[in-house]
Amino acid sequence: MKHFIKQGSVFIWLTGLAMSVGLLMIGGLLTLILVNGLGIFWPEPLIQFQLKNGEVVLGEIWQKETYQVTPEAPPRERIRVKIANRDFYGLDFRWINRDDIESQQRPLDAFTIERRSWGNFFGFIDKITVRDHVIAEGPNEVRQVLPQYLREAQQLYEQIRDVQKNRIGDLNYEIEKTRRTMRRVELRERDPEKRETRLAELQERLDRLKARYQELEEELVRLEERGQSYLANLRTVDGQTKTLGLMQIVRAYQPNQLSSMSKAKIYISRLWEFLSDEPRESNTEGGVLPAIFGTVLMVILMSIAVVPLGVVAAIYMREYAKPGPILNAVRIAVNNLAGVPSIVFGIFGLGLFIYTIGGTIDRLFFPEALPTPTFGTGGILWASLTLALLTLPVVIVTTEEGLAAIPRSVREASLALGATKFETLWRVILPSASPSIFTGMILAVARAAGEVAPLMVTGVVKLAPSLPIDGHFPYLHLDRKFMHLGFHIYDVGFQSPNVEAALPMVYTTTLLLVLIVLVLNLTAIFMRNRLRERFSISKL
Amino acid sequence: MSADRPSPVSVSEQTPPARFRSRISRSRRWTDRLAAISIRAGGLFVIVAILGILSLFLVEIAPLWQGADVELKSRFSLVPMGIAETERVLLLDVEEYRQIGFALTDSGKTLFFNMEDGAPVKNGRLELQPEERLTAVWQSVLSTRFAVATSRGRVLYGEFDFRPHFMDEQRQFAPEVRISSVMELDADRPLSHLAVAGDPEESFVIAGITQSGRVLVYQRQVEESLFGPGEVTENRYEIDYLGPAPTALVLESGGQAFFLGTENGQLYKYTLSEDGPARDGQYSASDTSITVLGFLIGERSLVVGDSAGRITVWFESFDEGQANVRTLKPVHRMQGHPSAVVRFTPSQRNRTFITTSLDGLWHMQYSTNERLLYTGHHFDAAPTLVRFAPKGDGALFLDQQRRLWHFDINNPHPEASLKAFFGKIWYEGYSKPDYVWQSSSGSDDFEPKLSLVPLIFGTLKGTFYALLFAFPIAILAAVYVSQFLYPRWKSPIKSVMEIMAALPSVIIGFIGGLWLAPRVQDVAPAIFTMFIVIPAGVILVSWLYSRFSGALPVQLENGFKAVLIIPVVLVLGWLCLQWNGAIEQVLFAGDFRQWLVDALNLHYDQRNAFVVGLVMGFAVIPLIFTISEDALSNVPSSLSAASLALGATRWQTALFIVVPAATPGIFSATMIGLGRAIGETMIVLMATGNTPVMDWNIFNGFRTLSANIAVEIPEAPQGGTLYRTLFLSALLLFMMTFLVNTVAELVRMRMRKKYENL
Repeated sequence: MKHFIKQGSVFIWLTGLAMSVGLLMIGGLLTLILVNGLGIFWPEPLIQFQLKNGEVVLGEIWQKETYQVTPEAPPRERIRVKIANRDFYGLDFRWINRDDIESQQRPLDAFTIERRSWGNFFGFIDKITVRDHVIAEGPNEVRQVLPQYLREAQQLYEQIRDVQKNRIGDLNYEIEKTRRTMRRVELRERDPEKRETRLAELQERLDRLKARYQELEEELVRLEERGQSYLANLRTVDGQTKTLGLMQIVRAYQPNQLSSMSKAKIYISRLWEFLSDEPRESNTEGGVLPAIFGTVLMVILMSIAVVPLGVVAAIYMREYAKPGPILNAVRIAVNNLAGVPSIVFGIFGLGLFIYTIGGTIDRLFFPEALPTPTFGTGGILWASLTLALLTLPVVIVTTEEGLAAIPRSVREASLALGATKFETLWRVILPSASPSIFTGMILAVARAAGEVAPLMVTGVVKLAPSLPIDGHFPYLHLDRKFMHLGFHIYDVGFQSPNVEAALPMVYTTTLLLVLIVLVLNLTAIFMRNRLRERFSISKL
Repeated sequence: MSADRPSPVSVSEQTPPARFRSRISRSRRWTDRLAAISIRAGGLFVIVAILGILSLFLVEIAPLWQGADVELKSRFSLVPMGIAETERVLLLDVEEYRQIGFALTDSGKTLFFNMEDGAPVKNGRLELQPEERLTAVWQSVLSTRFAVATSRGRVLYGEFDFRPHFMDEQRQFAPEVRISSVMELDADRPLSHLAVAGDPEESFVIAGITQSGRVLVYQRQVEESLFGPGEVTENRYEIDYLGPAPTALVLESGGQAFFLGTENGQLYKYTLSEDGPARDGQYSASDTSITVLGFLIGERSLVVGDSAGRITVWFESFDEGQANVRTLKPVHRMQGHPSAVVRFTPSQRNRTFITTSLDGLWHMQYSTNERLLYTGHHFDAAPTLVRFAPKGDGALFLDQQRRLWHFDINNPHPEASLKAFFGKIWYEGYSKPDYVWQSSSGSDDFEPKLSLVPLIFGTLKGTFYALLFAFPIAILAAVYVSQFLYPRWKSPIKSVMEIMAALPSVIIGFIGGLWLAPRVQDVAPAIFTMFIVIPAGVILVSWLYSRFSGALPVQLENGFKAVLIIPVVLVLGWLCLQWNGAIEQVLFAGDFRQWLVDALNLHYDQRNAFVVGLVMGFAVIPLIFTISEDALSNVPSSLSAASLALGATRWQTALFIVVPAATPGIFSATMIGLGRAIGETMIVLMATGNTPVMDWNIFNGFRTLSANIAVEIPEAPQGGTLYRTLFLSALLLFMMTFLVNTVAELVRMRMRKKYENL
């Protein structure tokens, strides 16, 4: 035994244990996210439970577990059922004890209906009426005509959305702009005569716009009236009924008679909706397109700011600076910048960018909008600049590594041929270092894509009314607030009123974010390894 | 370190020598020079950024330490408005925009005047009987209601109303004085002190001290009734009071209690109920006469001033150890005056108050942190009246020449002080001084509690538990990977660790808070068992292996042992979870959380330090692992080769040769991991309850400096005390990580030098 300890191989086993724990942690986490994030869009069968107390429950099985009321009691099994129909039952889930179940079956006619509000509906469609005419009655007829009328209602809904969002939205934008111009004229124009004529012109324009607005409103009312005449009579499994406009339905299917093929189709269509649509129901359903968009635009803006700065700093440290206290100070500054907590960057961005710089811009250029701040509040520009500062060390360190790998002989050859130092840098060194610069950028983007704390302070919101890019001049609105995948996770997971119902959405968003970050990092790691190989050969 | 690191050389050395220079065109030379300048500027930007962060924080924090600014805005005499030599001014006030002021004299004259120059706006007179004069006055702290007692024993209750309104975008005033109620008290005994509470339409209390030193109480109650006016009961009491002459009086605005101060420094509390006044306590507040009594906003803190110039703030709190007994305690000793305190006025916004003394000196102080904000030397003799402006941004003084002094007061951060941030403070309602963070609440009269100590404590607690778990795993894993692992696997495993480092903290926090925390709550005993069972299991496996490996056909190399361990870990972990019920039954009497409360008096929060410690591992392990693995791998192989050649085993070489040589690197790795744990925001925000408690209990939540910033900054208006306090906590975080990182960097630089010599 003594020999066993002295020899120390047991400690080697223990160090091995530490490494396996580390690997298991990361593996477990990724598996957890993968399993929870991927399964959510697959259509689950609807099960009808006949309970012993006479109750009938229809729902999807989400979880099974055994539990003990007291340690002595025999273990009992219970299942967690998603019963949906929030408007009838109030809750989306309930537990059912296995012992309480009389029988269970899969009713073929049961529908899963995804609605635009109130979450899903599980139940049956008795009747479809359009403009007060009964189109279909009974399960078979309903099944036949539903897709066609659903499509018609869907089209009407799209039209309404188009009028509401695009046309009325544009008009509102114009009206707001005219108002602001009037305010500016009032503030700035000194000559009273000119001011009056200018104001009169603007007022006329405003009246025209308002008249146009009126017309659109009327059109909207007409469309809505038409759309609302598409109705379905719904019935829950316990006999409660409700009339639902077909426009309110996103998707309806009968999961118990779907083939695998059609299930896959629904899976893909839901996945597509997740990636390409806007969120519904305070972010707990629908898609995350605005969040993806905001994340991408933010990292692009950030890269524009951080890459030149980081590369220049790295070049300074490698090529220009003499060894000495200044270089040491720069090194310590870079290392510290890397170690500063992200929230500290956030509050710095708030103090400098938003209140100091943004506030000044507002006073100088947008006095007509005050006291409503334009740049003096959180926005995508400030968030990007804050993150640029945060990721600066990443770019510097990676670029420096790349510059260090370039053999000295290359520089000397260039200088010997008569190139100036800058020409050497521009024509010889930077091209060879470009892969590592790119790696640095990818790492910076990966870091920024997942960073949330500083964004919470500098302009991310749970629901942005409009994207930072749109059809209005100047097209890119740097002052707008934006949505972000990471913040979406925090917000939906921790701030939403119905966390349980929102969890699937959070897992999926998490998976998406993990994938983005993983792909970016793997690309960076792959590139770096290839670079190392390349230069280790050139060294020989 | 790469061997061909070019030693940076100066421009003059690298640019072609002088004799070639003429061939280089001027524009090329200029480009070169310009580039050199801009690249230098770019390089120095990093230092600028760090200094910029630091200086922005200092600029934002600096105003916290500045006291109040006081500036004389206007000064004018009230005499030209028709106040006779014999008249005394009893009451002074100003509306919230400080445009119009109001004064009331003892002959019943009411004057509204312009605050710029004293020009009369409207003069009037209270309706008094012939020869009747006002003997005492009461003025509401928070409103413009007032009451006066007359020499005929009457009490007039009313309001002076500035009635602001807008006309042509200009603020206009149509001030008036309304007397809404007149009560006859004792005609023979005019009052020298008066206090009023309630509303004459409803329940109403008048307390007064007569000129002969008697204390009178008049109580009126209106019974609530659904039909028509309620039944009115009126009661008059004279306090059966035999002590020394009362000198000061203050009544709670709810009419529930009043306090009396006496000639010999005694403080009496009387409660008022339907049965009339009853004495509820006697306290010895001073050895001389109490001259001033008054409430600060919220009416919990009672300011007591005496004729020796001392000022104390009292409030009621529960005695320690004795529940339900509340006694009045002298909590804050404020800056005193050299002579008797004569006047007091509280701010209507916070716990700032002004006191004046006989010699004309005035102090402005903040009670919570006992901070002296301003001392004024404007007067030679005691001002006869003083009043804070409604918004706390100004004050009025009336000197003995009847000149009105109108001061601008800029008092933005009275709550701030070193003591408030880092010291123990006795807050209203607390039984003892304590460190508390509670920055805001629903009510206006809330006392902000801005101690950063609980937050610093939370930060350290989170960091401690995170490192407790992450440090051993990261270091041991680094030793294994650098010393024993099959070399081909090194690169992929390091990549996996890097990916772990890249996982966004919001994801780790989400998994920790919503997935792990509820599960750990159910299986905590099993998880604790795992910490013992799994290492024990691995030791057992290694022993079995060393016993029987001779019998195996193939010998396992050290590098592959981890492969064997993974299934062992999985199986043992699974078994622990399966037997959670049994473990709980045997060790913790069937219910772990109940057992914690019973046996250790610990409370179990779902989101606690234990969960944070586990998930923070995801952020900290890869960081410590990567850097210490580098350090271990960079130990020159000649060292370990020599050791192995002398017959040491692999483990002995690793432990006694390689690890000591890499200690500085491991230390700096730990420092960097520490820095990350200190500043981590999203994980602690999501996986703890964010309650700012000070308690090392691993099953409790905590709140860190970083999470606190994230939680509070949306509620902090720019430039406010909370906003600047958050900048202060950001500066603290910055300093902590700066320290840790700089130490790590210096150690690393030294290590680099050491290896260059080897």
